[in-house]
Amino acid sequence: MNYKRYTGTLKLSDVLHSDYYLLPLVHRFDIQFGVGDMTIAELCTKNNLDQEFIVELLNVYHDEYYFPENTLLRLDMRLVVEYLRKTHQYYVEYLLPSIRKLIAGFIRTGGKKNHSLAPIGQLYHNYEAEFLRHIEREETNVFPFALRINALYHSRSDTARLTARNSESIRRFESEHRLMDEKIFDIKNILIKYIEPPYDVHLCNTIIFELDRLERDVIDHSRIEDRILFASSVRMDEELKKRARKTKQIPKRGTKS
Amino acid sequence: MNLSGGVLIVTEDAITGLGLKTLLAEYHGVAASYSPAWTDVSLTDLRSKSLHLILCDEASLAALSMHSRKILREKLVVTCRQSDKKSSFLHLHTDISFEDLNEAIRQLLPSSAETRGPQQPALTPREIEVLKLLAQGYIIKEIADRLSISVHTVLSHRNNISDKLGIKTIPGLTVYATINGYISAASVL
Repeated sequence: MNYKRYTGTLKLSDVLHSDYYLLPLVHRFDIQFGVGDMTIAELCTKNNLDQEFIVELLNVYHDEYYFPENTLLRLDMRLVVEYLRKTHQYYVEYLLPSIRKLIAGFIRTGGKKNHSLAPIGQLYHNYEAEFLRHIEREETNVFPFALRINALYHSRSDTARLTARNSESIRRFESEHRLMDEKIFDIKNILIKYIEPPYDVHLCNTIIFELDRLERDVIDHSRIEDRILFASSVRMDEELKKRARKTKQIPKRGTKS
Repeated sequence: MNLSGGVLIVTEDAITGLGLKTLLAEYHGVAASYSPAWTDVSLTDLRSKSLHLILCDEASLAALSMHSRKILREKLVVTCRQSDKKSSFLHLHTDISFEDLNEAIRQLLPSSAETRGPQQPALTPREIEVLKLLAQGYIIKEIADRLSISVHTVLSHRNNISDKLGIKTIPGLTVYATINGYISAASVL
């Protein structure tokens, strides 16, 4: 499906009405509602935000097949990392605990005799713990690496030898994203297909909606990491290696140094 | 032969055969069919999808051709004593307590999942065995060794289980196994 691309000249209100899943993204830039008829460009100027970055982000979130090929290496990775950290914060401080509390309350509605609900709590606990570990590893390993490679790339430095060994391992995080998506889908599916009454049906619906919101947000977040941060870091790494070869700092693979 | 109950018992030992038939009827509500030999049953009936489980003893198993054993492997469970030498098929020990025997039979019955809720997918006895081991934390190679089957076959069972249940991850399968009583919650935690 081909979506119309967002541009800076569009009113933010029109953009948000076209896709309500963009709402959390806007709040992560501390843009407050009451935007009137202001365009994205006007709001970016007012809030001192990078317009190109925000427009690209809106397009990536809105269209899962969009890849910012032309602007990829131009994007400031410091902004990307800052945005991703804010998203992590949103998960850790708000969304994950909020769903955990909902599930705990839901299990209680089944009473002591309904043994089919408690394992859902265990499954969510398992997912949440793994997700938090994943976030921590990204914060302590991937983001510093991406920032360092970004700094080297833009400094026009020839010190590529420092970065040469790390870029492959970044791919591991991409496969972890897929596994996390599967886990959250399983929780929704077990709730819909396999639990037994009695339980509070309205609370169950709320949990499924919230899990779906989390799943969609995490998928979009992962795409920003995979398609922008990781892709950009790998490309910058390759560029740095090329520069280094020109100055004979590192040998081509398969050749003797 | 009418196999409408979904379970067939084949053994020359009439006491065991009729005992299992009675137990299935009285305690599980399953109208199993009993036959002392394979000659009373056509291969078409044996391969029928409505027949979920075949209980037979080692002597009856030996009377089956290799070809039949291969195509019926998913449904076959061999009754034996705990001390008997075992083939690579699933086994049901008959010299255990009444409660343990009843529980073992309950877990073998695909209908045991169906009676717990509407529209539950029917896993084969072998798939249930693989599911239980996955849920208990065994890796594919260990499961293959324990069941004396290849890694490829275990992976095939694993994919079939996921397709039938719509659950892809091991934690998700573990929860399904717990909810349906295939494993106890204590064995997971």
